[in-house]
Amino acid sequence: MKPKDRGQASIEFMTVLGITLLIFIMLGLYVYQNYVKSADLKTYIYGQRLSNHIADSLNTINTVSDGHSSSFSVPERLEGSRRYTINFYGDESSVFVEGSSLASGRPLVYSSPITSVNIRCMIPECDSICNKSSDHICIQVNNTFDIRLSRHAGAIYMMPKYNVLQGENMFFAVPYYGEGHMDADVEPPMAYEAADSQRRWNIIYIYRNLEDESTTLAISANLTNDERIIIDIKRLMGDVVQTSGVDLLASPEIHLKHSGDWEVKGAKIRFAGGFMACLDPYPYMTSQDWTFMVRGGPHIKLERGEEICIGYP
Amino acid sequence: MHRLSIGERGQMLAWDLIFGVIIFFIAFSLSIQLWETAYSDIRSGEEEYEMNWLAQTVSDQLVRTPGYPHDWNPSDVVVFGLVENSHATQNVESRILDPDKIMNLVTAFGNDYTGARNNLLGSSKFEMYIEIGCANRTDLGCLQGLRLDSVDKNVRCDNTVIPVSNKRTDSYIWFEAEEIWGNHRDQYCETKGCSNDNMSMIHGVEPERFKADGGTYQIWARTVESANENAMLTLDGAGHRLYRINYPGLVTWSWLGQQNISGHTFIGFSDTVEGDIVDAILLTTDRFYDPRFDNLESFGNPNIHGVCIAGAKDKGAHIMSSQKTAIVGQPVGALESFMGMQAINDKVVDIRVVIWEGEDIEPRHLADQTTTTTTLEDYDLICVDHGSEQELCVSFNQKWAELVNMRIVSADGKLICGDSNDIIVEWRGRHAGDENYFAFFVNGPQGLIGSCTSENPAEVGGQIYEYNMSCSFIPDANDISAPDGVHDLIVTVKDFGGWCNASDIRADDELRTRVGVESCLAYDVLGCDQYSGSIKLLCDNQYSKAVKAIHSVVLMGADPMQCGDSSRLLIRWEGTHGDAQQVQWAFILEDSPRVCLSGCTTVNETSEDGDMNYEMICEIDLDYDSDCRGNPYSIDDGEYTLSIVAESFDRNWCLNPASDTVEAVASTSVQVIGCEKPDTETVNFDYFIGDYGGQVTGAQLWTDITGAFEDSSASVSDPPVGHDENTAHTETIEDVPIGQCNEWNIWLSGVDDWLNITDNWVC
Repeated sequence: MKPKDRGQASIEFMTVLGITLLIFIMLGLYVYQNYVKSADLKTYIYGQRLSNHIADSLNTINTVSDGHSSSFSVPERLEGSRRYTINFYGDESSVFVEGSSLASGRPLVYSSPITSVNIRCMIPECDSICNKSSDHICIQVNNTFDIRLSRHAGAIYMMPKYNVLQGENMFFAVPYYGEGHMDADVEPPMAYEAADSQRRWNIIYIYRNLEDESTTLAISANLTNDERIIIDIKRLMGDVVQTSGVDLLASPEIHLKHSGDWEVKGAKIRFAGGFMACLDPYPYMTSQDWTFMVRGGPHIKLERGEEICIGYP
Repeated sequence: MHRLSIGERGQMLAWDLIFGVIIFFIAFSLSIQLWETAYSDIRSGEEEYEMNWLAQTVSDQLVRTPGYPHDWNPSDVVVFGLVENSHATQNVESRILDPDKIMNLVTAFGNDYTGARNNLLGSSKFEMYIEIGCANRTDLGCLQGLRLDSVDKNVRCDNTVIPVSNKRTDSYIWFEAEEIWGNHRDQYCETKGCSNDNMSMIHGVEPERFKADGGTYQIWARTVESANENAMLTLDGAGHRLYRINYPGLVTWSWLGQQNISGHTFIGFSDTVEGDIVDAILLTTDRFYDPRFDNLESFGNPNIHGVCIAGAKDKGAHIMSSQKTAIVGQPVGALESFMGMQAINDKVVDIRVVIWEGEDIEPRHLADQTTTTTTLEDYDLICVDHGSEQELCVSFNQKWAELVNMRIVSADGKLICGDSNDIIVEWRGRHAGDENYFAFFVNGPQGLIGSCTSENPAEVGGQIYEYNMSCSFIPDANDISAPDGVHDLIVTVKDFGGWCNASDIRADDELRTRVGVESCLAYDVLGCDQYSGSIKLLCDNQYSKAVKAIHSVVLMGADPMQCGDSSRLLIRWEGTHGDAQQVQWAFILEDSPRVCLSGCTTVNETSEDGDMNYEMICEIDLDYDSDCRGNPYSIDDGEYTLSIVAESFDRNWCLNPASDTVEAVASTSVQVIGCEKPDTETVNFDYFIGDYGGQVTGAQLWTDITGAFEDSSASVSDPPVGHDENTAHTETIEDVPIGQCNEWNIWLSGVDDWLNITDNWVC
C-alpha cells in the first residue's frame, strides 16, 4: 500500500461514520419525539379518565338522596410525573383536571360534565394557594389521598374519608340529631351517657338539626374550681351561622371556664350545612380526657392535647 | 476467484454499509409504522371511549337530573337537566321530564349551539346533537298537548317546528277513512282524488271514541261536494256543518269550525245521506295549520317529523350515541285519574345524545336545514289608523291571527290621551291575502282608543309570519273616560270583515295587558276657595258622601314646597257636587304630629247633578305661624306624605286621614323646606328716657324673664349720650326666645340709678 492510499481509506471511514452518526441523531430525535408523544398520550388518557372518574362519582352522588356517600382516590401525579390540580368553577358545569405536557410544559386541561355546581370542599387540599376566587374550588394534588363525596341539604361535600381524625387515628362518627336547634347551655341529654360515677367528662359531638339541615359542633366540659380550657381552632370550613363561647376573631379560640360546682360549660358553632373544623386543646388545662360522642356508640376516646379534626357530612 | 485490489476495498465496504443501512431502514420503517398504527389505534380507541362516555353521561344527566337552577331557562342555565322538580316539595324523580325544559333545551341549542355544547361537553373537542323522539310512535305525537308553564312560542328544532299555542304544544288528531270508516267498494271517491283511491266515509257509520288533550280544536274535513246542507260532523253531540263551503270537483279540505274538547270524546256524523263522502278529518289545536296548504296530496301529517333534532347534526363518520327513555311529566291538573287511581301518562320520549367527530366535517353552519311550511318568519308591519271605521265583526271565519304581546313604546309605556301613543303588537298568523283588523280599548268596549288595519302585500300564500306591528293613536279622553291609574289595555284582531269589540268571541284573538293611563278622563273645572275662619272638626262619611273618589293629586308650582311661598295642588276627583254639596278639603302633612297646612272649600256648583269628574286647583299658603286653625307649627326639611282629605257633611272638616269614617282621601309625596319655626327671633323696640341727672357715659340693656334682673345682657347700639332726655332711640335685639315676653331695662353709666324704659315689655 502506498502512503497516499492510507489517507483515502480514513476519509471514507470518517465519511461513513459521520453519515451514520447523523442518521442516528436524526433517528434518535424522531424516537424522542415519539416518546414524548406517547407520554403526552398517556397523560391525556390518565387526565381524561381521572376527570371522567371524578365526574362519574359526583354525578352518581347527585342523583341519590341526602346521606349517601362514596369515595374515590386521586393519584399523586398524572403520567409523566407532572403535578396537577382539580378545579371546579361556580358557573361551569364541568370538572377540570389541569396538568401540563411532559415535553413542553404547556398547560393541558381535561374536563368532564358534572350535573351540579353546588359543591363544597372541606378537605385540607382545598386550602391551597391555587384557589383564585370565592367561587373557585382548586384541589392541589401533592400525594395520593381519598375524597369522600357526600350529599347534604342538596349540596355535594368533598370530605376526608373519615370525619373524626386525630393523628394516625381515624373514625367515622354518626352525629346526634333532632328537630330544632340545640339548647344554649350545650348540655345534651346524651352527655350523661359518658358520665362516670363522678359525672366528670369532657366531650365533643356533632348535632344535626333535621328541620333546616344545619349542623352544630359542640364542645362541653365539666370543670372543677378554677379550671379553664382553651382550645385553638386551627381550621374552620363551612358557613358559620351562630356561635356560643367561641371567639372567631384574629386567632380563633374556644374558652371554657368554670364558675360553679358541677356547672357544665360549653361552646358551640352552628353551621348552615356541612363543616370541617380542626381543634387543638391545651393539654395542661384539664385533667380529663376528651371523648367524642357517637350516636349509638361506641364513643371515641381522644388523646388529650392532640389536634383533632371533625367534619360533617 | 476474484482478487481484491487495494483500490477496490472501499467499494466493498460501501456495499456492505448500503445493504446494512437499507435493511436497518426497512426494519426501522416497519417498527415506526407499527408504532404509528398502535399510537393511532390507542388514540382513536381512547377518543371512542371518551365519546361513548360523554354520550352516556350527558344522556343520563338529561333524564336523571333537574339541572341548575332547578327552573332554568335558556338565558340562565348553568347545568342542563330535563327532570321535573316540584316547587312545593323539591322532589326530583328520575326520568320524569319537564316539558318546559325539553322545549328550553331545544331553544338553547338553537340560540347558541356553541354555548350549549360547551356546557354539556366541557372543553372536549367533539360535536353533538340531541334527537328527541317518541318511544311508541314514529312521529312527535308524544310531544303534543303538553302543558307548558313558561314557554309560549313555537319551538324550532333544526329540522322542524313544535307549534305552541296558549302555553301548550299543539295537538293533531287525524281520522282517515281508510282506517276507520273506509268503504272499500266506493267507486265514486276514487274518481275524486281520495287518498288511497277508493276509501271514503259512508252514510250511517257509528261514532268513534278517541282521547284528546284538552284544548280548542280547529276542525277540518276532507270532503267531496254535496248538496246535503244538513250533514253534520259531531263532536260529543255538537254539530258542525260538513258542507258549509262546497268546493266542486276533487276532494278538498275545508274548515268546519272549532270546539273545546278534552279527554274521551265521541266523533260521528248526523243527518248524512247516501253519497256524503268524508275522506279524512283533522282536529288540531294549531290554529295556523291549514291542510289546504300544508297537506295537499297525502293523508296523515307529513309535516310532523319523526324526531326533533337540536344541535349540530353530524356530517362525519365517527359517531357515538346513547339513548334514554323517559316520561314527559305534566302538572297534576292535566293528568287523568279515575277514582284515586294513579295518574295516566302516555307521553314517553326517547332522548338520544349523539357525539361525533369526523375528518370530513363541514363548517358548523348547516346550509341544508329543512324548513317546513309552519316555519314562522319575522316581519315588521304598520297598522294604519282608519279613524272612524265602524265595527264589523263577522261570525263565521277561521281564526287566522294569534296575538302574542303588546306594549306601548311612547311616554314611558303609558297611554296618554291627547298625545300620540305608539303601540307595538306582536302577533302571528296569516293575512290570508287581505287586510287584518285591529281595535284597541281601555278597560272594555266602552273605552275605544281606535282601530287600524294591516296588510302584508309581500306575504307568501300559506306562509305563517311573526309580526311586529306598530300602531299609532291619539286617544280622546271623552271616548275613554278612565281616571289616571293602571288600566287594562285591550287589543282585538280579526282577519276578515272588520274590527271586533273587546270581549267579542267572534274576534280571532284578544289580548289584555295592564298599562298606566293618564289624562284620559274629561274633567269639569271647579274652583276651591282657600279656607279662612274657624272650622268644625268631624270626619263623617255617613251622610252626604259628595266625594266618591279622588283620582289624582299633582303638586304644581313651587317644588319643593316652602314656607313663605304659595303652592298649588291639582286635584281631580269624582262625585256629586251641587249647591248643597259644598266640599271642605284639608291638606294634612303626615308629620309627628300631623300638621294641617291649609284647606279650601269648593265653589258651589248648581248646574250639574249626578256623578261628575272635577278638576280644581287649590292654593296652599305655607306659613309656620299659622296652620289651618291658626296655630303655629314647625316642620323639619324633608320628604313627607301630603294627604288630601275631603269632607262634605254639614260644612265640617276632617283633619285625620287615617280615620275610619273619612269620606275620601288621597296622598302624594312632597318635599318641604323652610318650614322649621325658629326658636329665637330678632325684636326691635323704641324707647326714650325721661328726666334723669348726670351725663350718660355708657349704656347696657338688661332683660328680666323671671321677675328678677338676670345676668344676661345685650349691647346697646343706639345709646343715649350725655344728657339726652326724651330723645327716641331704637334697639334691635337678636336671638330672643319666641313666645316669651321680656322686660328690657337699661343701665346708664354716669347716671345714678336704673332707668325704666317706656314700653319695655317686648314679646
